[in-house]
Amino acid sequence: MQKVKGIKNNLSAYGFLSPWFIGFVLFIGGPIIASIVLSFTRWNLLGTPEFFGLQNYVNMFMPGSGFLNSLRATLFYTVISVTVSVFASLFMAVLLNFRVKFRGIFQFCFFAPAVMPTVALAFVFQLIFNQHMGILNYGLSRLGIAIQPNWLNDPFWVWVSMGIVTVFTYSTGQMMLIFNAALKDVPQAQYEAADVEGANFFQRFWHVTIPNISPIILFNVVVGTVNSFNTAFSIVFPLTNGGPANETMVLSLELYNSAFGMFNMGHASAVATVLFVIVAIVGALQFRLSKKAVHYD
Amino acid sequence: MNRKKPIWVSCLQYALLITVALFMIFPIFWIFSNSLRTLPGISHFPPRLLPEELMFENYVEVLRGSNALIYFRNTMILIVANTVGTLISSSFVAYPLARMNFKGRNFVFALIIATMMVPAVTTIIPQFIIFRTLGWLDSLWPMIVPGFFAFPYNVFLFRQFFMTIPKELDEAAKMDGCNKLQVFTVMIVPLAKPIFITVTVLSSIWWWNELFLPLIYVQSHHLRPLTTGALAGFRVPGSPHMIQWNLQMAMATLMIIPPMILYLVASKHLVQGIKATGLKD
Amino acid sequence: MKFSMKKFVVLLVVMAMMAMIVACAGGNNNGGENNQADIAADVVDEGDDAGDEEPTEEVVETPSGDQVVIRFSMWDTVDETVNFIQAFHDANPDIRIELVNIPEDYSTVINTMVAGGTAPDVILAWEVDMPRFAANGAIIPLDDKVAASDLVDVHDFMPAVSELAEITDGIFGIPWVYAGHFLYFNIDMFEEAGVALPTDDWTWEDMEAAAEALTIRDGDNVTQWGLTAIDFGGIWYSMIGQAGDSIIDNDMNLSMDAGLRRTLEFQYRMTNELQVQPQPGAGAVGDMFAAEMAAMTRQGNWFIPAYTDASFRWDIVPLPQDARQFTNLHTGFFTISADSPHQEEAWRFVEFMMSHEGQTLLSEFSANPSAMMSVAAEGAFQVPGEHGPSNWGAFDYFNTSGEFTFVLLNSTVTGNLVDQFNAVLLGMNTIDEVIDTIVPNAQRELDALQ
Repeated sequence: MQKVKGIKNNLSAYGFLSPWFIGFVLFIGGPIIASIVLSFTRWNLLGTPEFFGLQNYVNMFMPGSGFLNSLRATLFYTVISVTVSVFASLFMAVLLNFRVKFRGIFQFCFFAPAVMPTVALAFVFQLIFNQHMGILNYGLSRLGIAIQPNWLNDPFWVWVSMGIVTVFTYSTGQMMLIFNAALKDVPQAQYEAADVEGANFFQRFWHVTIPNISPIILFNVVVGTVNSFNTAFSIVFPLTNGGPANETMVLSLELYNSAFGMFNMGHASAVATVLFVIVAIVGALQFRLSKKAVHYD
Repeated sequence: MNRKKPIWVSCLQYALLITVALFMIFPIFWIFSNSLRTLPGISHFPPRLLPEELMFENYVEVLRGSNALIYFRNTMILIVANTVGTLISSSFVAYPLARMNFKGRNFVFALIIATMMVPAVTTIIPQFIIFRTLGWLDSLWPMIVPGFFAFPYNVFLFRQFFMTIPKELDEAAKMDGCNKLQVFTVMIVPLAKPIFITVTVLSSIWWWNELFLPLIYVQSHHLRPLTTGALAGFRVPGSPHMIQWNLQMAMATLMIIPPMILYLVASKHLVQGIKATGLKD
Repeated sequence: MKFSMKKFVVLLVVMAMMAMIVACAGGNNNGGENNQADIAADVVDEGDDAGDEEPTEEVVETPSGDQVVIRFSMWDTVDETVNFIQAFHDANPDIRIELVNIPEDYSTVINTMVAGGTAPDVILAWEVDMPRFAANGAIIPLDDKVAASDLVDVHDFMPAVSELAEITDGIFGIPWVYAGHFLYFNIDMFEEAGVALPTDDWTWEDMEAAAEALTIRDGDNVTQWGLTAIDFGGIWYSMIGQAGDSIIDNDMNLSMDAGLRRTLEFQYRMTNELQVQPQPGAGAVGDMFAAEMAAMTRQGNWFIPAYTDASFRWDIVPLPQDARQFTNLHTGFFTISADSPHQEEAWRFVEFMMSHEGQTLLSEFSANPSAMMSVAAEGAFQVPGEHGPSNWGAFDYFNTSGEFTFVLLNSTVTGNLVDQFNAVLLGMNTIDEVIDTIVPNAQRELDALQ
């Protein structure tokens, strides 16, 4: 009797799960396997796929290949976007925890750009960053700063530009709200104890705030890293389209270009496979790392 | 406990807050300001904060002379369809994960967490082929149908919320003769209203901003959502690679207003949703 | 949360099995009918294009009002009031043209539509795409239709264009109009600086000297540039050709070496040593020539209408020559999708566009000369603005010095190469790197394409 009930229970549970299961097979699991299969072929999407062996992978790892460059760009993008997002959001969250009036208004101002579509963000920053007509360089010259960077067309400054734009993205806004909530949960008693010892603002921040929110920082780094693989395309594509000279050609953009620009489906699938492996490794690493910090149950 | 803050500390705090606030809303202001310029006014140097003559006609031109309203309609279709789809399917899937003991629960949940991390680009080529086989390309279906098969992130949010509802309620409902489905629809769903709102807000913002999928799946202008529509719109006639920036900025202004209103109206739910992302037990 | 290695392996196996099922189920259907191609489209379409194509073999019933709808794609943003569509509608009330405007990444988007079975009925195809579509059966041969037509005369095409049309085995596309590149100059600025105006036989050195004389500095700041940066990638290839390279060889492989080096060195000097033209990317926001921030610009002839409203006096000359006079040519082909259920009506549209009337209207609209020499000779493409141009004779060098080169290669690859050329000016690449590594890499990418 008990056993029958257990089976019935399992059946109904899987009944509830069936939409996800079908979706998983059709839209995630199946495609991942199919990508791996396609990565061993040569196919232009119009004809029929030909077996191509490991040639796609061999080409990818040739010195000077676009793929190795994309790996580098992806690494740069991830490091920059995660670092900037975490620091900027923590900074704003600390500001929002000042005991001041109008905090709602400030929070609105801090968060409002986060809900902007990245296309709109990219458009306006193309204007702001323009070397000769943009307001940023004009502002710099008015401040007496002599350098006039070609923001989006210089291999160094383009990453600075990416960092600046990151401040306005949804990831940063999201992290800010999380930090904001976490800061409110830091036990007041600990601050008071620090005050008794005569700690200044920075000492309090370092010795009380940081230890209390360190799991949240780790959590944000984890989520931010995983998100960066997803957000890279929606920012880089409209902002620089991989330029200057492939400097910001992140993997997702390379995949899009080779699949839907060159119709080299084999190569694109190989890139997809490698990207999937990278995400799997990063995910597994972070999973181990964050086990202590993040509780799912 | 409140020490009295010295006045200079307050001043410093306000100064910092105001500086950062101005910095953060500058891009929004700049979009708006540029939307009121003439095309040559965009490249006027030195730049002015506001143009001398405010060209509100730009908005008329965007609304009348372009497909802006059609793009808006398509975005709304995507938002409504996906939100409805994900609310139904994701809550459905989350229910057993949160409130039933069955074999392989942890495994399934781990799989869902894992799939949250899979970037959309890695699966796009096979998906493109599937939808081509179905004859669904250049339509909105490839972006609507998957929404009805539970989005992992939303499953996760629902599950987290369902866990907080006392288990005793299920037992009580069972006593009254409800089956599992009835427990879910009659007991759980009404209690979980806040998370339904949260997911609605998050899903709306998500689909308002989505760029990649429409870029792949939709080419015809009358089917484009706002993002890819704006990307292709407003070229100088005869010179397709010259952009009419003033109109582009007017379009961008129209694109950023709705999500900001949504934030104003539903900020509480948005914050709740974001906080629920695995922070708390 | 336990997630052991063992379970991960099990998970992978499960996924593999599911994928097999999907692959078996889905594989056979490839290329099947595209029924219901546009369900969502119909839902949102409110019935305004009832003829939404379902590319099946059967005869599709004509929509109410007996109009056949033909979808026609081009890269320009136009609507149905544009002269040539209107004229066609007037002459053919039973056909309605629905424009598919694709101003960004035209080739990419069209290829995606063709691959996805949602191609428009009439595709204005790029030079590189027409043979590709033909080889894959995506467009139909037009030999019979051309032979039967009184309106289309294939012997009237200018030589470079007729050569191009021979790439394919048989006629698959008919060239619409063609275009090349010019040097545009601001007469007011030249007169102000007391510099002699450019002539049809200018050399790179002449351009360099004039650019120096026309650049105005305020301390370190340039307030007026002699020349704009190269904003349109095709100009790079024109200069490489002028410097003596053939750009592509007979087997459609890249052939750039000494001319490329000379071009990169020249552009580098103009940009970084003489600083008479801005760095690449500056033109991304506004046209510096139109904004009167630069005295000269190199652009396609299709920019003539863009400067119609210019408040300064301007004119055009052929691009300055180096080892030889040279410009890249551009065209597009009217092609008919093999999936189109209305191929006869589609042909009627193409036929009209290639008629004397259609070609004249297209020339007026696009400011590009007709590929048909008899029509081009009438000069319908000469649409002057208030302050220029007047040197219509400059168009002659398209005939004498124009060739189709890089446009025959994949546009993503040639576009990336242009980014790499620009990177030299930005100090990111050395010239040797471009010639020794980057060009061969691009060739490998081209080789990998079918």
